Amino acid sequence: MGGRREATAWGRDVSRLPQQPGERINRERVLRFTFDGKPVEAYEGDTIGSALFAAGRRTFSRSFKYHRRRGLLCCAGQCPNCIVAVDGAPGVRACVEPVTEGMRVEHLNARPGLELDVMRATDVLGTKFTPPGFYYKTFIRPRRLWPLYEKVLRHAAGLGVLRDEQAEREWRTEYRRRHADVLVVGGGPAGRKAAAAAANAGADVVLVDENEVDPVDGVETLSRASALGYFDGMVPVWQGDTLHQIRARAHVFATGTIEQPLVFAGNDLPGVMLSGGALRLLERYAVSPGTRAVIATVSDRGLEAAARLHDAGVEIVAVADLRMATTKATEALQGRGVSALQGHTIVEAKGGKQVSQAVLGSPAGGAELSFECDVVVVSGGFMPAISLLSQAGARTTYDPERGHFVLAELPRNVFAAGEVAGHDTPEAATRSGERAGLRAAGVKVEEDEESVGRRAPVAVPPAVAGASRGKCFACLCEDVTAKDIHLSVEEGYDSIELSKRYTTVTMGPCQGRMCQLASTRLMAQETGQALEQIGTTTARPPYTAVPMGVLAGRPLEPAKRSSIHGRHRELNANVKWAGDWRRPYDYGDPEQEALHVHRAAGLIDVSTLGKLLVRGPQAGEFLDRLYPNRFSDLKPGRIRYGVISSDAGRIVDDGTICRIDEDTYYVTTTSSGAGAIEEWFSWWLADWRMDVRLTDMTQGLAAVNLAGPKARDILKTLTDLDCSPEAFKYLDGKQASVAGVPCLILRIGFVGEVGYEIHFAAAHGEHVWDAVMEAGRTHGIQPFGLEPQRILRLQKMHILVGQDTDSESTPFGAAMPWIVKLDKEQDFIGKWALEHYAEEEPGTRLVGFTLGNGYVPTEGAVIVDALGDPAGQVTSARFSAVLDRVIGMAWVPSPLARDGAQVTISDRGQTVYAHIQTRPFYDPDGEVLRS
Amino acid sequence: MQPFGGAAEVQLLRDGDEVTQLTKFHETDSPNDSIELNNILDTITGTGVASVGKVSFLLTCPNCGTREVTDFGYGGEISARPTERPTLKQLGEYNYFRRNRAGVQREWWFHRAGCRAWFIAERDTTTNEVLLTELPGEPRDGGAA
Repeated sequence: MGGRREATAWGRDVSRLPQQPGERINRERVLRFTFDGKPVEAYEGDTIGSALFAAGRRTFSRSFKYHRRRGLLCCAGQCPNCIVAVDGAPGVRACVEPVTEGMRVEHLNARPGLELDVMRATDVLGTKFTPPGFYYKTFIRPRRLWPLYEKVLRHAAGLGVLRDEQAEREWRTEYRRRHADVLVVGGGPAGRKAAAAAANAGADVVLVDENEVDPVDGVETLSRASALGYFDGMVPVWQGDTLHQIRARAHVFATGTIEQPLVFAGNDLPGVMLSGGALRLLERYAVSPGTRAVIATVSDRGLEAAARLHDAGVEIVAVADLRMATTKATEALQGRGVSALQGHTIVEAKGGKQVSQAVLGSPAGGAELSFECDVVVVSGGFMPAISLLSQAGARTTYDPERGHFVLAELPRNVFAAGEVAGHDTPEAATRSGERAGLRAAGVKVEEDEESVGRRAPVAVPPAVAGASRGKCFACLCEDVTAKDIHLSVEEGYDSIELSKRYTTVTMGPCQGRMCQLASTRLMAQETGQALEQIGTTTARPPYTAVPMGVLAGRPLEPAKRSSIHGRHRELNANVKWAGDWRRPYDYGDPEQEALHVHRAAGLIDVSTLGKLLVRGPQAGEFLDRLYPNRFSDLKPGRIRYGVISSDAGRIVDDGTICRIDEDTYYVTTTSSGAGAIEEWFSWWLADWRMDVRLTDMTQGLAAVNLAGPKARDILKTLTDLDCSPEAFKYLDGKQASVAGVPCLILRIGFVGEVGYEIHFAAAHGEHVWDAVMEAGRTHGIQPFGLEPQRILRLQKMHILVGQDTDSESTPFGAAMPWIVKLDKEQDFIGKWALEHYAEEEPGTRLVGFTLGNGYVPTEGAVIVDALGDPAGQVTSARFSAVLDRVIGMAWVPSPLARDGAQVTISDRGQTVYAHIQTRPFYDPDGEVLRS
Repeated sequence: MQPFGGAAEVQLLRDGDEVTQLTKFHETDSPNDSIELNNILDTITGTGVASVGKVSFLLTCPNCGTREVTDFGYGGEISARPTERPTLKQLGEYNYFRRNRAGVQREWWFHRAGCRAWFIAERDTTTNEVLLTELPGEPRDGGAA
């Protein structure tokens, strides 16, 4: 025996029974946790729900809309009634969540507390104020008040608050991919048998169950793991912090059935419990669901529950069995001195904080009987849990005899076993499991001649009983009453899918488990249609409410860093994201850094550039087909600029291309385009199948650009190469050793000063950087970042693809008609579209502009025409220190795209006037560049 | 790794970045199409880490073997590039129109997270069943692809 237990806030174990056969609690070990700050004690093996119920708690939550008290109903994690927050995380079902030492449990959706909830007023004031569509109808006028309405409604709705650490994604979740032969969903007798049979037949089997289940031999058994959906054969399974993505060749669904509530007045009062829930409390946790019980059932299950409760010492006050026939269960109950009222059902449950009285009667009307009680055990039949099967493509049909939808047709490699397939008796369920398991494992099994094992008959309950007596809830999650569905049909939402969207029935946390059937019955009653015609709402994933963090997986944010990145850090670079890269934005003063490149020399890390080696006898021809200009006539050792166009004639990317030798070209792309251009090149190569090999050197090579009037003097000290302007001309590409490292040096006009782009093996990144910085020290070299680079390139009107161009930009509009060689005899990507654009005056053109008054317009500011209508836009704008004015690029109407024209820029309410300039702002003739 | 259209990098954008947004290309350039294409590509390439709620199936790369579809980039249905100078209408159709077939379709795939090879798949677009994958130009039943 365990130690004495201290009294809790609600008394000591008020509902705990002496030891029950097969109970799952360990009375030797007491665990302590808190509920709304008050201490509660539990036994090891208790769930939060069983422990709280044992301690006397009956109200577990407040309902979504009316804030009515709700208590334990299913005790199986199916219904919304016991959703709480645990350690700050909302959405936890208390009835299935095991107690752990010290856990902090709090109620949701009630202010100030569960016992006194001010929002209860919505219920007390009456449904007049809260029919379906109430919010939509009421809070739309006046529109200007919506921000206020929203604030209030946001507080009123919802079932919890996201905890901060989850919002910040500090919570570590994992993905796991599992490939198996057979996945069995459901660990009941049928599922376990199916898993064992498939495993015995040699299959690799995974078995998952949302509850705690014992492992099956030879089967990977995932306990407390919920299958969330079915996606083309992949079933995501949520287990704790892990999302298993299980892909199996065949699936067995042994998902069982879901006990249905009855729809009657007051059917949501705490104390109204499903028979399965009452039995789970009793048998697993030795907790008595009440002392005086009234039972209402449509099948033997309720009678069997009555017998079990009776044996455990619960007084059975009355039993209403909707059926007229007697069964063995009726007799077994009679043997205990309890007679069932046949042809009766429950029409109303009454009570305040919990049920205190049950009214029984015939659905046809007539005499009624009232009974004092503290628990009402209901069993409204069992609906097959077919949601996952429906997602997998199973067809269902209505079975009038059973009063619910049953499986009619299964897709290939999808099997159903046990109760979900209609095999109600344990023997039949197990047998069906074995057969399904074998078939899933690929074993041929003869068609089963034996009929499905069925229990004693069931009665189909009325859609609603006692409707005139009070609120009869069809949907507990969303507080949808029978009357709401009546109203929705009256307002014209007369199909189940429309009514669902209007009333939100089946859209709550239970995902239709408790309300799908009830709402279908109500729709049938309201519209006079047959249930078969009404059909069911579409089953959608996730089947179980799942934290977003689990779906999101591990919070990965990969970052690329160049091999020189450590040096940038040491230089206190202002590092920012640039695509996937972390790059130095500046080293403190971008304006000064840009100016310094003009005055002495600057060094920038351009390792992020895309670098492709295109090699082979057809390399030149390949590039001729990819670019609008020619590369096959480029001389080895020379460099040419290229713009890639799509077949729609739009600019895709740009870069420089150096022909290294007869068969080898070195292609650079923009940093952000690197990956996509490699894909683009290899795509066309795959299509054309030319004798060309592509090698992506982006990650393998580092590159720095050394630029400025002192650049040549600095480079000279590091290499034996003749760097004189005569020997190493503008647009020459040479291979040489720099600081002892083999390099490819491209003399290009990257930033508008004499510049050398030095490419080399990434491993030498810091060595080459250090050597250049050291050699440049006496010349006053300084590093410069992305922002000064932008200023420098803008001064030269070098376009930045994606910044100055968009998906509509053509080389003609972007003022680069010279790049398009339509006289090329050869076909190239974009040729036809460009031929067309060559004949057509573009509506807008990309040009430079200057501003006199120092105002720097926002990138994206609008160019307006004489009428004030948008006619273009600013794409780049910066202050240039060397030019001492504001410069920019903009798309302007073609007639204005001439030197000296004035355009009007409308920017954040301001109007400024700019002057167009079509030639580079700095060194327009390229004399500096070529020197 | 980026899908065509740079949706992935947009997620990584920070204030003041100089990042250029990659132009959409490969025959799908109208802004409206691009938005849709991005969604579709995100869906299929699984640019987000989660693939729950998205297309989910296996593809067999002719080089690497069978992998999750999230390993691959989708290149769309195979369409014939005009060999003669097209009329403007024909060019528009080639650039912007798709057969969008419900049934078996030949299409391009790229093993983005693997060997980075383009290959061809035949897939039933209604069931996502992949009937075959092959490298372009591989002889099949004696004929060319």
